[in-house]
Amino acid sequence: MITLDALCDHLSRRVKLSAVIKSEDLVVAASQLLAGLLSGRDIYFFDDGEEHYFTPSVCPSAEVSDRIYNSTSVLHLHTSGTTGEPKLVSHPVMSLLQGVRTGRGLDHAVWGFAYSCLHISGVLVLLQAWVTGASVVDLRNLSRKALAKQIEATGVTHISAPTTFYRMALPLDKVCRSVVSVTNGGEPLDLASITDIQSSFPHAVIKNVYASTEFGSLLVSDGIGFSIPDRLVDQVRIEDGKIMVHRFRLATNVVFDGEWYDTGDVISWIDGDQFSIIGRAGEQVKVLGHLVSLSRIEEVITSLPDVGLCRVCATRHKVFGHLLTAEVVLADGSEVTRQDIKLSLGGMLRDYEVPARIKIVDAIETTYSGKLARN
Amino acid sequence: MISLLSDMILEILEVDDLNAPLKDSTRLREDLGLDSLQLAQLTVEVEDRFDVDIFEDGMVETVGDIIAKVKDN
Repeated sequence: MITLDALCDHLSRRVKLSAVIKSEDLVVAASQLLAGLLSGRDIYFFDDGEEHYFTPSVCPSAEVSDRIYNSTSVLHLHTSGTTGEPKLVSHPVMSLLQGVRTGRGLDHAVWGFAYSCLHISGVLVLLQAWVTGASVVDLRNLSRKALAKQIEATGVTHISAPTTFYRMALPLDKVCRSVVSVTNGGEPLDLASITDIQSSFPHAVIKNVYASTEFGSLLVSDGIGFSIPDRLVDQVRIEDGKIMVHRFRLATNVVFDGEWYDTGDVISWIDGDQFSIIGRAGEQVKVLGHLVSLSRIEEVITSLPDVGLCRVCATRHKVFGHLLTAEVVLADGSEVTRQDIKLSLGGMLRDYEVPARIKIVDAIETTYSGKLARN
Repeated sequence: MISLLSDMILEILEVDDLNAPLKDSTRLREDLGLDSLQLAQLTVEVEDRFDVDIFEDGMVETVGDIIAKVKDN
């Protein structure tokens, strides 16, 4: 495990404190972020598109907590978004710290790190660990076997990861009882993923976080349903079935007209003030006159035991309205064909929901937050 | 070309044999029994293979129509 001393040593060996963070290496990114925070500099996170190798773990210290809380740094991040061109958003670190949780036990937490270092969710996990004096362990790019071994060896207690992480990495081949909290961000968890989490981490409370690069971590749910807490009633509201966020809550350079920012995230009311987030506007299309939800189809296809990950895209078609294409990453060891998948879907989807084109691929691009990239 | 189309249609219809060999005049709906969804599937199969949308200029009725569209492109 790498300590704060090691981080400081890493910093001292650098010729100057670079305020531009390009690396996906957790130690490099973490130390540069820390340097920026402590020096009050503006910090820019960029993806240079190169592959980097990861070190296994980082262990910061509570000593830096006060200085981070007083940091005047502004954090600049690229938002990849699920559609469209990347843009730069800027957050004063002070405002990001509002999302940090404190409380009993969190100072002894060991956080499993599974986001990109360059995404706001990854930064939030690092901030959370630093201000509470907890440890961070890198869980990215590990096989199922290596993942279980890493969690067991380092005693990971909290995992905060994008939905794709749980879909691809679970179920583990052994039960990890040290994990008491599992936080999902990106997309709603499907039932299969919830079952996998429960079997791999039987002592964990599952939380869903609604967050984005534009407004940081906004809502937290213990189940499927979210509600708007009293402290946020002036900042978050539902309009036309979509989540709207007040300008006050947003990064400083998000450009839009009016007071309220349309997140494009579509909700469905469950009960009382509870709602579930069912997808993004534009994820529903018509096929032969029938309205279909791309995320629902993805959920059904992903629930097949032979499927690890799936993305469904729609292309406009003059005759059929839209044609659906499903890209499928097979589960480890599976050798099914696209025809097998199509046959399996027969009883699970309506005829018009079954994608006309099913492609088996090695990988599917996701955004930094783990959402399936749809651009 | 006919034999490629024949293989695609067998897969879409999930059958091992067609009642009669494919000809240019074979009608997609009436003779082969392809419904709209199966035609959509045939569209993407042909597009993936030949990079042409057979319905780009409107409906196609027969196997010969598909072959003509592919040859035109």
